Amino acid sequence: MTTFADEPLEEQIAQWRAYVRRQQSFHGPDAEELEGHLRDQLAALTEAGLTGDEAFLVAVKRMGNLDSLSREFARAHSERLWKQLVIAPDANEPANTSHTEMLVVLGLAVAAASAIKVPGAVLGTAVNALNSTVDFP
Amino acid sequence: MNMSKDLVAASATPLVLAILAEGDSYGYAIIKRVTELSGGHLQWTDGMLYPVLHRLERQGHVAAKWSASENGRRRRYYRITREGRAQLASQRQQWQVVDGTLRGIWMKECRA
Repeated sequence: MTTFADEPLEEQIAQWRAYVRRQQSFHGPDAEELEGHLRDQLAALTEAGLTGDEAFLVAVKRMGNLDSLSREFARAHSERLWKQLVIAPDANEPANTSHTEMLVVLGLAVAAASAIKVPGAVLGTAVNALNSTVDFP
Repeated sequence: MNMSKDLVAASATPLVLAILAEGDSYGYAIIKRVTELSGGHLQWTDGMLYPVLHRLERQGHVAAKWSASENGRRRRYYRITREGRAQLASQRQQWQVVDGTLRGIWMKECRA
């Protein structure tokens, strides 16, 4: 996990990191672990003779689609899902104002859950869609 | 060779556990080892290894800790647990059944 003297490359890594951190299913340490991987890959590719730009393209492509990856993280950490619903949206607000918001969120979650329950066939399709996102090439 | 997604996904767990049974490691090194062991036939989308590792950690099959790496940044190292070794042994038996069965029918085909 190297820091690069190549400033444009560090800038690209910073943009990538900002994008990763916006995904709710990645927690701080997850983003750090993924960035470490990206940097190891970049170091190997630039040592092999690629320019910073070329190495970045290859490394990001190999890391894979971040949206599918985010879904896989959400599945691997299904215990975090409720926290994404309840805590994340109002983490920076005072506790008293977040109370009603939390009730609304819980209400919506219950509504969403019962909406999903009804059409069994639709749910089956959704599950299949989820399974097909196991994005090993 | 274009490997089926399902097969690659199914083999990920025993492969990761078997690599960690060789010694503690971290994500990037595990991926390099997979490529090396498979002669490049098993190419993972790199990021997808991490949800697999985190799932194994939650199941208690591996343990993880952050340690300093050789270049200053910290890295997350994984180690197989006793439960992980038991899981690996069980997965190995299952894969041997599949492998043995396919060999049986394919060898019969060769002799015919």
